[in-house]
Parts: sequence; structure tokens; C-alpha cells
Amino acid sequence: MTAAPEVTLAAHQILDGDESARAAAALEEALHAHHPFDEEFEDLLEVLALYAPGVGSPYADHGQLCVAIRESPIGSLERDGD
Amino acid sequence: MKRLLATLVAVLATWLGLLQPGPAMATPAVGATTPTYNSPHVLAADDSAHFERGPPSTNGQYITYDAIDRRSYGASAHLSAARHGYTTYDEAASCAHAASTRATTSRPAEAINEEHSALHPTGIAAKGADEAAALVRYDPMAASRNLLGQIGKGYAVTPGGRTVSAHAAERIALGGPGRPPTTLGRVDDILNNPTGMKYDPVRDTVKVMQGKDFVVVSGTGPQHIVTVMVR
Repeated sequence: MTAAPEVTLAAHQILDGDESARAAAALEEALHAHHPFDEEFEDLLEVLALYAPGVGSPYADHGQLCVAIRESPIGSLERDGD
Repeated sequence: MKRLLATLVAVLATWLGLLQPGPAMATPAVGATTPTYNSPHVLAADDSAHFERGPPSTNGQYITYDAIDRRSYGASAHLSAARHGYTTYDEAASCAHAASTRATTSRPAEAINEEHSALHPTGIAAKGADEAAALVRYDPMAASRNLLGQIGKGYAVTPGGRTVSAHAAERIALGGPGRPPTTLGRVDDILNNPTGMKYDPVRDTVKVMQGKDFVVVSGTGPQHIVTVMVR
């Protein structure tokens, strides 16, 4: 499966170190726009719904979001690129 | 006879000599001092002229120094005036005003700020901000109630009696990125009529799904809504 360029771009911003809720919101919006109801992104969407950096458990932080991105089809795309 | 003639000539010469200075009387002695009123040095040395026309020397000195200070050192005169005005900068608002002036004006304003740096206008502002932050600390329960328009204490609650976190309240009331807002009744409906559930032991949460929509609640204790994803 190929992620839309908008999704990949938004994900890379987070992987590059952007911890802001705004960056996470951009990725969530891109997923809703380009991959609505796509089963392969469900786990990533759950982490995005829980993303609240600095709040602590049970919310997700930047590291957990990066893991979820890498485990999603976006991450497999990166691995294929390597 | 010769002596008489000589005496007459001398008298005539004296008489002529008295008449000649007449036209020049307006200028000489007084004229020598008049143009010197702008110069404190000449006035200071000209004590002998004080009995003549013109202002007394002391008066003249004060006027002269004042005139020099205001005209020759205009910047200094302005700075002095600004210093008097600066006594009002004790208030934080006045300090902010001074800062904005500094950003747009020239040298005198900068000099004032440097001289009065002990006031630390920005320090006052920072202290005020800290105090304000201490007074208005973030309260997730109040945030939850405010977002969902509820009053009272604790978190906002759904019609079904479940508490709503501030994070979930924001996603319910304001919607999420690419999603419209939803209602507390819809959240209750998902929890009451689920199509699937998934427990997360790491977070100690339960993901309750209804189709593609889901609500995440705390795994233990009274049902507390952690987040929602309603599309």
C-alpha cells in the first residue's frame, strides 16, 4: 500500500522531530482526507487520538507516535526506500 | 597776550572736545558690554560695567547660562526634561510604554532606558506573567466542563454518567483535524452499543469501537473517557 504524499510529508515532519500537537493534527487530517476508514492506518489513528505530549499515561508522547508511524504503511515505505 | 590766547585756544579745544564725544555716547562704553551678554566669560570679566545700562551682571549670568544650556546643548536639555518625566515609570504599564518608545525613537529614549536599567521593565513584566500563571493554573476538570458547557465540580459528564477528560472534551466539542464536532450522546451510544473492544495493557485502556468510530476509556475504575474518534 502506498501512502499519499500529503500523509508521508506530514509524517516526516513528526519523524524529523516536530513534537507539536499541530504536526500530529496535520497528519491526522491527511489520513482522514486521503485514507478514510483504511484498516492499515487504524492503529496509527488511535495513537494520534491519544497524542498529548507531556501529559503522561495513558496519553501518547512523541516517541510512541514515531513508533506508530514506523509500524504503519508509511514506515514500510521508508524501509523500502532504504 | 600770548598766554591769554593760549588759554582761549585751550578752552576752545576743551569745549570742542566735549562736544565731539556727544554723537558717540550711544555706543562706546555700553556698546562694549552689550554684545557680550551671550558670553559668560566676558560678563564674568566685566564687573566694572555693571553700573552701566543693561541687566545686572548676576541676572545676565543666569540668563546666559540658561540660554547656552538650552541652545548649545539641546540634547542635554531634552534629556533633563525626560528624566523628570521618567519618575512615572514605576508602573508596569508605563514601563511597557517606555519599551515601545525605545523601539521606535532615537538616542534620548535609549539613554533613558540605560540610565534607569535598574527598574528592569521586562523583569517587571515577567514577574507579572509568572504571578498571572500562578493564579490561573491549568485545571483539566475545569477545562473539560468549560469545553462542554457544564458547571459544577469535577470533569464534565455524559448523559450516561461517564466522566470526560479535557483531551476528549476538546475532540468532542471542537472536532478533530478533518472531523466535525460530535455530541456526548453519540459518545454514550458508542459505549452502549459497541461492535468491538480491545484492551491495551500498557496504557490500561479499553478501545471501544462501533464501526470505524471508537472511544478509549480507562481500563480500571469508573468509566473515564480518555479520547474519542468519531468520523
